[in-house]
Amino acid sequence: MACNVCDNVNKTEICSGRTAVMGCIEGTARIILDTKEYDDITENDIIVTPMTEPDSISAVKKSKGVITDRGGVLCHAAIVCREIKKPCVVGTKDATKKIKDGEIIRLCANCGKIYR
Amino acid sequence: MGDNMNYDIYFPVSVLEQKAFIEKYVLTHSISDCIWISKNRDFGEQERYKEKDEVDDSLINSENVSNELEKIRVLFENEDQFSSAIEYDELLKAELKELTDIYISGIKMENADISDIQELWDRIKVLSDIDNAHAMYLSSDNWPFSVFHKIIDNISDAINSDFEILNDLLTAGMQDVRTSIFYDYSGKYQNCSREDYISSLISEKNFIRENGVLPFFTFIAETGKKVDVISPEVIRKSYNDAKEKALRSVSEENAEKLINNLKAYELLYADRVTYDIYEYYGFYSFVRNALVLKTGNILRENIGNDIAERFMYLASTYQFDKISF
Repeated sequence: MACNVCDNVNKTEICSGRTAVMGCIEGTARIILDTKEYDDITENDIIVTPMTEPDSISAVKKSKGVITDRGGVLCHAAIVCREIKKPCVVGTKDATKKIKDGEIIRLCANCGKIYR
Repeated sequence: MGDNMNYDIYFPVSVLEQKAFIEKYVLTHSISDCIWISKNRDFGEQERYKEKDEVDDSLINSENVSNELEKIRVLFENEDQFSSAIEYDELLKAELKELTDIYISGIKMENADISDIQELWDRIKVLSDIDNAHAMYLSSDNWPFSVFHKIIDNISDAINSDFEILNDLLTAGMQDVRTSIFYDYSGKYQNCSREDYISSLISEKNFIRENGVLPFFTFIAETGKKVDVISPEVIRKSYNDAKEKALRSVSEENAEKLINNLKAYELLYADRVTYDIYEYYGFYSFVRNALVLKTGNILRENIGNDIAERFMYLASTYQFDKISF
């Protein structure tokens, strides 16, 4: 699927998954493996996590978008992002391993891909 | 949540009956018991994500889960997905009723000894496994199978994979409980301690909302800052607009199948929303944590603190197969 936001941007694909909520944004990857780490999320961050936790909505709302290792279009991350309108790609299998914490990435949920 | 939705048709116990039970529990137990239930529910929900891989392995290897999965899978082999959804809805309600009843029986049990509670938790383990099959295949969408997959594929095919329409259809016009508890934020309890929060709920008799959410379990949402989430009315309008667009885009011969799948999806999504309320923010969470507390106290009295603490941890994080006294 084409994306009119990032099609002409120079980029390298890191991983891909299933589009849960469309959108194309750039931000700082934050690998979240523990609940406490949600407290540090800022407005420029993209949450990268195995799966979101029930009480992470404040962090998700603050973030630019969400990427998960697990889940489909109805996993909890997808549902929350859909309702608060944050781009989201789910089911990447290994985003938390392939993406480096703190690196600038592009989350293209229009295509279901993540780039650096 | 849903507009004028009658939640009682989804719960095994009506909201009024739930309220009566909780009121009686609060009258006959200490405030510290109520605080413990609230705190332990939050602890369990966060902690079980740390144990997730182990819990998931045990679920996959459980015969009870596999049998329930097979029952669910066979239901959805039917081409008429709406009929499948109706049958599934009845199966789910029966399961939730049985599960709720056993927890209530445990709470009401008098003069229970160790063998009584061992037998009780052996039965709970079986019913919880069956319930977990629904948590997996209705609620979580983290598995290869889900009750929704075929229906979503059918809807997507009917609208030529137009994801913009599908995105709004996927909400079924309903707000999820994880966002609704923030939407329903009252602003009264910001920065409150848990003790003050629970005391306030008890003195106001603020035990349950119309949708079955127990304020005992919205401590984190209510005591933090307001989080702006989209209103249920906006979600519903977006869904209705998307549904209209979808129906306009299909041929007459395909319209009937699309309507069938949309009706199935709406019913199952309502099942999911109310299941999540009941299990994680509602009555089932209350009776489960109340019984964990009671059992822990019995174990502490009869065997010792270490066994009691270990039991309470395992039961709170859904690791029932590891429970032994």
